[in-house]
Amino acid sequence: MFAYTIRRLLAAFVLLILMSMVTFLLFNASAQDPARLACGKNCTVEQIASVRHKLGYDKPITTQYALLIKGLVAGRDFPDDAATKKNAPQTITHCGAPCFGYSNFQTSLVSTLIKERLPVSIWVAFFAFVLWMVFGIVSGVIAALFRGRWPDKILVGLALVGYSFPTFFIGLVLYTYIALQWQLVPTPEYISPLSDPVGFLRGAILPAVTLAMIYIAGYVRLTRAYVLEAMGEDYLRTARAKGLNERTIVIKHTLRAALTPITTIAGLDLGALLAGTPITETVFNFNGVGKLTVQSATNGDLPTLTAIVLISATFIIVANIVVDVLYAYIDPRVRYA
Amino acid sequence: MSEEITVAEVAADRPHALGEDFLQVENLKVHFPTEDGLVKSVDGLSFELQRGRTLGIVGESGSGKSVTSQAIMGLHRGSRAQVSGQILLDGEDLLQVSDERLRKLRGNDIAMVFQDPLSSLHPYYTIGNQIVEAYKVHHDVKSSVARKRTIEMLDRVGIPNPQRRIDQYPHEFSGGMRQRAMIAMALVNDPKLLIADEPTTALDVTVQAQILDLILDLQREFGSAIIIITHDLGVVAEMADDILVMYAGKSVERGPVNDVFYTPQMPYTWGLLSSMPRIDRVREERLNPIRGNPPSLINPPSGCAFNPRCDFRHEVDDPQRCVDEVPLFDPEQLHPVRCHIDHARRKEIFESTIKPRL
Amino acid sequence: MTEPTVPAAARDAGETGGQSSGDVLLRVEDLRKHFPLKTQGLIRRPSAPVKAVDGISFDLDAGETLGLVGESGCGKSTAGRTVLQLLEPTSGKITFRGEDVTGAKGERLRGLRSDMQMVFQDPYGSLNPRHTIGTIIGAPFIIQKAKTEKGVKAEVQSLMERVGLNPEHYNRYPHEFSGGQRQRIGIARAVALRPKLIVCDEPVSALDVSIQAQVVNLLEDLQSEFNLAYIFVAHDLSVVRHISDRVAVMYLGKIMELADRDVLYSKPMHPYTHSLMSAVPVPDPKKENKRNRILLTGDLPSPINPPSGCVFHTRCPKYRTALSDADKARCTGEVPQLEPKATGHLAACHFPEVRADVAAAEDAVAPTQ
Repeated sequence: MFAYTIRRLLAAFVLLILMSMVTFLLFNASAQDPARLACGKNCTVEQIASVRHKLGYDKPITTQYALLIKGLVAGRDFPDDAATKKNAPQTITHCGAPCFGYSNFQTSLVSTLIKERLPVSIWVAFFAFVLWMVFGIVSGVIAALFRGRWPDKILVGLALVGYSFPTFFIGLVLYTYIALQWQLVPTPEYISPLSDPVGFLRGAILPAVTLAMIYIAGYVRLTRAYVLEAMGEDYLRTARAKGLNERTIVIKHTLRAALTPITTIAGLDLGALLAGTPITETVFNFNGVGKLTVQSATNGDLPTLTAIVLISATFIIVANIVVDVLYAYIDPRVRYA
Repeated sequence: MSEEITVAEVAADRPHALGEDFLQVENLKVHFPTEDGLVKSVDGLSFELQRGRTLGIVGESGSGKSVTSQAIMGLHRGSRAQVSGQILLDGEDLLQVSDERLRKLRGNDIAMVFQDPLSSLHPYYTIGNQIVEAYKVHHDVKSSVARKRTIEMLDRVGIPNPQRRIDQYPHEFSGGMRQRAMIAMALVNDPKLLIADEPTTALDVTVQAQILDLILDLQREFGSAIIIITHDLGVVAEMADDILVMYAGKSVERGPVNDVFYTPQMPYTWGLLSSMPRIDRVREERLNPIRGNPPSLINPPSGCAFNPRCDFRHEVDDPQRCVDEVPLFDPEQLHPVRCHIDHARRKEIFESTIKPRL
Repeated sequence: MTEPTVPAAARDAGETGGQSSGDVLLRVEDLRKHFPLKTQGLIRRPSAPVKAVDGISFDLDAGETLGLVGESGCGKSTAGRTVLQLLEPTSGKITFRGEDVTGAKGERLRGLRSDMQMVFQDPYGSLNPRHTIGTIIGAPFIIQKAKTEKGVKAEVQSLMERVGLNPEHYNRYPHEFSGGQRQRIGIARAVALRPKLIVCDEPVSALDVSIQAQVVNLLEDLQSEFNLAYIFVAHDLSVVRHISDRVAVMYLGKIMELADRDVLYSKPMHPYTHSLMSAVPVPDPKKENKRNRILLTGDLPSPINPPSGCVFHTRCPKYRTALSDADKARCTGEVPQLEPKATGHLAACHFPEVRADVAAAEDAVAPTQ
């Protein structure tokens, strides 16, 4: 098991290196001049040249990639040249490890941006995760237990309705009615749960619900399907034949079997959400990584985009490993070697 | 048409059965509504079983033998199945008792061993956990007591090193050991009736031999009544005192094991016996299969359900009766047969035509 | 791994039983199929493989049926598939019609396929549910670009008729047929190109008794009509007795005993064969009551790390009860070769039961009634 985990982590590391190369190449070796993009529309030739020098775009592409990796591991300076360091050290921006680069648009280090934005996305994602797991699984189990009868029909119907509306629509409707018109909750804003947990819950409830809505729909159907599958298993017939009561049959025998595969899917879904949700964050004006993604994509802010891609990839790869390792603990039949 | 017969069956006075029958199944019907129509899996079945005896129910897939066993366990409750008739266990009608009462009987008075021990054991719990659970649900004891009892049972069914094996998962057991564990679980509460539904079909012959021996051994020790359901005539020949042959949800022949094997009376039983290759002797010529295919349970053939596949219809004075009229099955006889052919004529056919072929 | 192949003497000795006598269609020599495993740990190295088939040799004549029996996990199905090269042999030699076909690939293998076919156990899983019966049975003609006299459809319909299916059902799908009918479809597909050899892998074990007999009869009819040779892989000893000319008993990847059907069933020499046959319940209550069963104890050992010497010694009733310590040392130390112990009767046992009156299932009990 330990060996398996180590092997997986090594493979993940190699995968991330490859991802970084591909991302870097796609962004920086394209037809567009990255320095021009970074400088903006109304730049003079001199300004572009200065930006190019500052961000290191005047160096060969392999050197640029090496600098990116060096920055991640050890930090780097902008501009990274000996002459400037000697003559005008005050114009040098130092970027400590892990350095993702410098965003000329935000006139800020990318790592600083990420550090500000990431907690917003992560906390909202976790909030949504708890909501969809609780409501999705409970409704799914109820639907399965009442298969074909009205609770099933209503829950599956609602799930379908929730699933069919686009995120921005649900978000806007919730925002407009719940927050603004009926004022059932305060205007959504991000308050760090570390400083004010209740404030966080009140401020983030609408974006979390919006996010959860999409997933609840899927999880109701998934849970229902897995529970029904488990209910058809021979070992449930055995459990009945033993004379167990329905409660034990449902909770101990059915749910244990049905919920195990859901753990996998839930872990992966959460991993994918951690690096931000562009639509929801934009609708509720939450300054998370998702909104940053939208801004950076609009502006062609390559260093920030590269950083976001790498961070999302890391989350997803790590979530995969965590889920696989976790599975071995939940399902005794699975033993990795 | 089948109504008349079943009424006759219920009304039948059965001196030989009174008082001593531990299990009495009367006119049992299990019907499943489906989109294609009503599937009559069991359609008017009656039999009885005495304590310490073994009844072998034989039939092919779709004959209703497994559905019957599940009906006795009440496993159709809460499903769409329509169950009617009577299942009297020690005088108590299992179809009428409350869910709670049935739950108390299940596993305690009636226990069941299933065909595939791997899928019938929960993959996420240890063998010990599952047997302890079966014991504790019917006995208010501490876990340590239940565990001790479980180890005893595992030892009793021949699982080596039970102290260690008790904490292993089903997938860590071999097929034969799993079925032993299933039997330990079924017998942990000392049931009065054990239903074994194809208990050895998924196992190799050498393991099958061990398991059948074990069941017979345990029966001698605990005196349970056993219903063994199988398609393997060899298994019933070894295990059963009485045999019930089922076809299309109905009993077609029933009798003591020697009668059914040495003087079978129903053309379907003849077909079964003469279609199987034998390990104990060579059949020089070709096998004699039963022609055609098993009947539909939604639209079973009218009259005798076996009539489209029967080679002996011409032996009935008026062969049309086979199509028009369900043959009676007189449970009062020692060896009842559901067939329109005259009793004496059947014996003649068997002696002259069938016996040489077997 | 340096276990020798069947000695030449063994091959020559057999007149009728152990080795075939007529035109050899297929010769299998020291065939092995090992499935590689890897070690656990940080760096995974290849470790001891699963020896599914571990050095089997036999001949098969045209038009003959060789039964391959044994418990699950003995390698009989793998053996059948390896002979057809559906699995690549690890080592050994397969000669088909005098030609070494071991490891044939590509075009050559495709050519072989029209002469060597397979019928599978599961009539539900082995037919593509989205293809019509006509497409399934006709596929061999298309793939092999075989010429047909009146076109593929006419050919397929005559095949359907031949195996007892209604040719009008040409456009139906597999789910519209019963298990027995599906097995007929599988058989029609296998015989479409008039092969010389068919490996039948448990062809009737998923079927009901009454249907089983229909399919067995069909296989026998096709055999005499097209002079087919069968390798009949099955765990049901009764069916194998009925259909086979010769029978090979396998245990842990090796052939334990190989002889003419009647000899093997009436006078089994290998203690494994003997216990296997004694375990089969007979549909005859009186015989059942008198039957002397030789119960095998314990479970099948692991094919990754099989017992030393004779692989059967850990469960052998003879080893346990009837042998001296010196004899036992031979069983644990020396691998018994499959060699003739009587005319045409091969057994891989140091101490075979050579008495003329070995208690076979038939003789052990009084005759019926």
